[in-house]
Amino acid sequence: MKTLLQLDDVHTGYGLTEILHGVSLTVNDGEIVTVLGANGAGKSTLLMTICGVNPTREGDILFDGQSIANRPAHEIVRAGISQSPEGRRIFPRLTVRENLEMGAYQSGRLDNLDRMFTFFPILKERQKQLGGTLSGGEQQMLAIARALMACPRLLLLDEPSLGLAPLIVIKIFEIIREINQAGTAILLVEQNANMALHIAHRGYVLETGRIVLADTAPNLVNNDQVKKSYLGA
Amino acid sequence: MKRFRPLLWLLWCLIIAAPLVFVGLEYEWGKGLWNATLRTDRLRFLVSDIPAWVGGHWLDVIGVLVFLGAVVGFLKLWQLTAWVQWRGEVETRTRGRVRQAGAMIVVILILTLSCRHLADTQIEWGVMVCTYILLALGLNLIVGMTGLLVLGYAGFVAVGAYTFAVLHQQFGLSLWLAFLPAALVGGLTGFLLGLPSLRLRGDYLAIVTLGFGETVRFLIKNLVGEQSIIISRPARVPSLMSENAAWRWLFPDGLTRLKTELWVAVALVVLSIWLIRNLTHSRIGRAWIAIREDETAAAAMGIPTVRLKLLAFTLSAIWAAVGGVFFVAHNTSANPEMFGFGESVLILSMVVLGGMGSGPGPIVGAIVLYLLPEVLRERFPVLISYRPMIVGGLMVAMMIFRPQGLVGSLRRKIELKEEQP
Amino acid sequence: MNGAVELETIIGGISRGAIYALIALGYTMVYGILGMINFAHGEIYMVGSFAAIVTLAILTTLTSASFGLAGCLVLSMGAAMLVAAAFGFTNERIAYRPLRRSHALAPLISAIGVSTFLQNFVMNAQTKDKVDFPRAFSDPLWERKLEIVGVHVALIQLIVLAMAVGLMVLLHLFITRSRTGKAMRACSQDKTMAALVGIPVDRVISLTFAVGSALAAAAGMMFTMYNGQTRFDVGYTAGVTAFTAAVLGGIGNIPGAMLGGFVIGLVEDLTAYHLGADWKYVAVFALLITVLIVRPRGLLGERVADKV
Repeated sequence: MKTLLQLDDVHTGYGLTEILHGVSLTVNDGEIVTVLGANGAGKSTLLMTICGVNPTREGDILFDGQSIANRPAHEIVRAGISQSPEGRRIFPRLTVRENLEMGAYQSGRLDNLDRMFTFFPILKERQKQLGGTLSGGEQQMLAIARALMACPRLLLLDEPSLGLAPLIVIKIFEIIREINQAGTAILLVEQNANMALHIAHRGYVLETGRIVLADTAPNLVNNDQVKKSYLGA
Repeated sequence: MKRFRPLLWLLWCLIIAAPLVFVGLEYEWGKGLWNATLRTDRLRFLVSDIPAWVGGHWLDVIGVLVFLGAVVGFLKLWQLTAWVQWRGEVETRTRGRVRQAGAMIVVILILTLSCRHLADTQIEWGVMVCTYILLALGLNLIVGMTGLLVLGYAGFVAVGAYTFAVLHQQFGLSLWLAFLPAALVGGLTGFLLGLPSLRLRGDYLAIVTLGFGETVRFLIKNLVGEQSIIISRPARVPSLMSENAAWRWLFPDGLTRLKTELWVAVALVVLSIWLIRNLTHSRIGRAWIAIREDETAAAAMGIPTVRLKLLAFTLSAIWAAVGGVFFVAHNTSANPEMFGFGESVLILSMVVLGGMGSGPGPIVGAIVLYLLPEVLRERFPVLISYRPMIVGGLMVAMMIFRPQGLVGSLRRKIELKEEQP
Repeated sequence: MNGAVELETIIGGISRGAIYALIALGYTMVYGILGMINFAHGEIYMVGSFAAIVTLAILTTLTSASFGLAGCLVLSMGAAMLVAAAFGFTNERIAYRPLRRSHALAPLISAIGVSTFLQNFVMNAQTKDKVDFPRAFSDPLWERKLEIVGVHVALIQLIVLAMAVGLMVLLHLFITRSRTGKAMRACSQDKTMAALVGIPVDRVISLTFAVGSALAAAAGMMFTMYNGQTRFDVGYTAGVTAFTAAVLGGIGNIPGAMLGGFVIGLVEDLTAYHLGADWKYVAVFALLITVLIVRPRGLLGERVADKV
């Protein structure tokens, strides 16, 4: 299998504090990889660094063999990485349709709109509504759809289950699996380790800015340490 | 797109340079449309004027740089002595006293020597530098210490100046008696303006004070009048002539009015430095710094932020008013045009250049931005008219490259450069 | 007092208000996207007014005004907008972008620096004195009066109003319909997210400055035509006045800026008519303070509207 994304000893931080102290991980083509970790471990920072929002202070990030470290965010989107960030971050005063159009800003693939509307019928119903008026689950779908509008080769998902009702969480994870089966590699950051490991192929455990464990998903599910800290067993 | 980069760049240069083309508008439009004359002689100031000064006076330019370096170096050294004393074994308080006394002796010595040997033009520079230092110190209280941008500082100066001028016109009040009412009126104005506006965010406050500065000028023009008010001789700083032998020995020519003014101005500056130093090293000063660094956090710690900001605002206005009184007395007349926006910006740039929030910063700023152009006026006659332009460019450059100012502290640098995620 | 005169004052106020609205748009757009007040905006307006006069002179000298009156005026406005857009763009690049992550005081001071620089740059490059707008272009527009229900309205007032409203409509369409306009709105709502969907945020910000500056220059050209003259320091007063308009309408709110502009124009002209011209600035300032105390979010601040 071909390596799609490779992080090599990445350091980053805000101001005087360093948050990631040398993170290395890989995502292969067609994989779902999950990163587990407690609050403040640096998971979101990790995704923001991949997307070029945070600077990479040391180390390198390779996407499809090309270095994307410290490239501007919009070039990284153009290269084929898009993110559905933590808290969904829908543009509240743009309509649903406009939110989706913004997702296709780089790709220009407005024809994707129809695909998204068949994928998420609820969004079609609400397309004239302002983004800020959607419910949490709808916003999450919109966030994922918006990220998919860019036709990414790698989709980064940050806490897609956050603050959603259990039934909707299950639905979201089904959607994630479907997206993956359609050929998009996914890097999934989750606190809901159970669900995440359930659909992922491989996983990493991030603790205070360092990768402490890396294994296949089934092995992680059976790992005592993971069980104790993240699965609540 | 990339291929056209140089072309775009050229186009951009042309567009930016467009306002440099001066249009002779003396033409008579009555004769028809096509009598305009296009003159490019104003381009000269960019193409030849500035290079010519630098080319013709490179020695002076080096001299200026050395002078700047000397001023900054001296102040750095001074800060260093404070540090040494702090770490030393002798009791800090005694050391401080010795240091202060030493400074006073040096100041008095310099003053005495100046009065004996310097020409009137140079004394005049001294008086004006002291006035600007006074004003810059006051502005630094609010801009530097509390971190609130005030753009209408000249308005407060005008309030003080006109309190004196009007009281003098009506009741013949003299300078000495005017300080108190001017400070009161100035402080009150600051307090009243601060009441509504200090609840606003930083940039709103800036624009409110900007409007205030201009409003004061308009009000003075309309309520007091546009003509200058002359301050008569008895109300100004007197000359001190004496036949006493010791006096004759000290000052062979006696102390003319101008020379006495220098003493008064220096006294005001020294008094200000002392007051502000004590103030900023007190609980209040620390609270101001806390507000400057993070107002929300300061409020959460129980610091009454609005009240303290109001205090800084009022004090700053009082300083401005006192400076205004002295300035008018020195200038012998008051006119609303003296207190325009340009003056506010000049004083602000002194604070910025020297270092916002640093003790000696405003002093350095005032010296550099007032004294330097004055001293160089004879060699570079155009420099005075280009000063505002240079000042503007300097403010941008300082913010980008050295936000803490020439003699600012490391703390200020970190504060101003901090990354905000 | 005479009703017709009163009405004429109101019409004058509305056309001036349209001009203020154009300037206020620049403040509000930049505020919406960067959350800061662009103090140098008034200076851009002043540069625009000079650029318009320079262009007119160039046109009359080199082409003998063969484009005709309307053609010359449109060309000069276009040139002024181009020059001002370049200045606005440069201003952001040099003075604001390097400071975007620093303390809030830094860009403010840098903006004051730019403002001072530009004012004195134009003063040194052009002149300290007032510069007249070529009367040959403005007089015919003043002389042609239209009578609408017994009130005399000069053609120029209608033209100014029409052009300003036209530009506002164009801006509105640009922001609501075009891809770039939508990107601007997205940036003003969440810059990080905008970057994550692939919007080149820096470029959008530059563009916002350029568009706002072009509008200010159009205002500068029209105001100069309307008032008959300009000077290197007109940007300062116009800036504060237009800012008041932006705040009055609710800063960051585009329809608000337009509304605020009209209100301010009326307030100014009515004050000038009843109390004397000197008092209009005081009235505007009093209004600014009052709005900030009583209703800081402005007239339209409550409505959820786009904050570009």
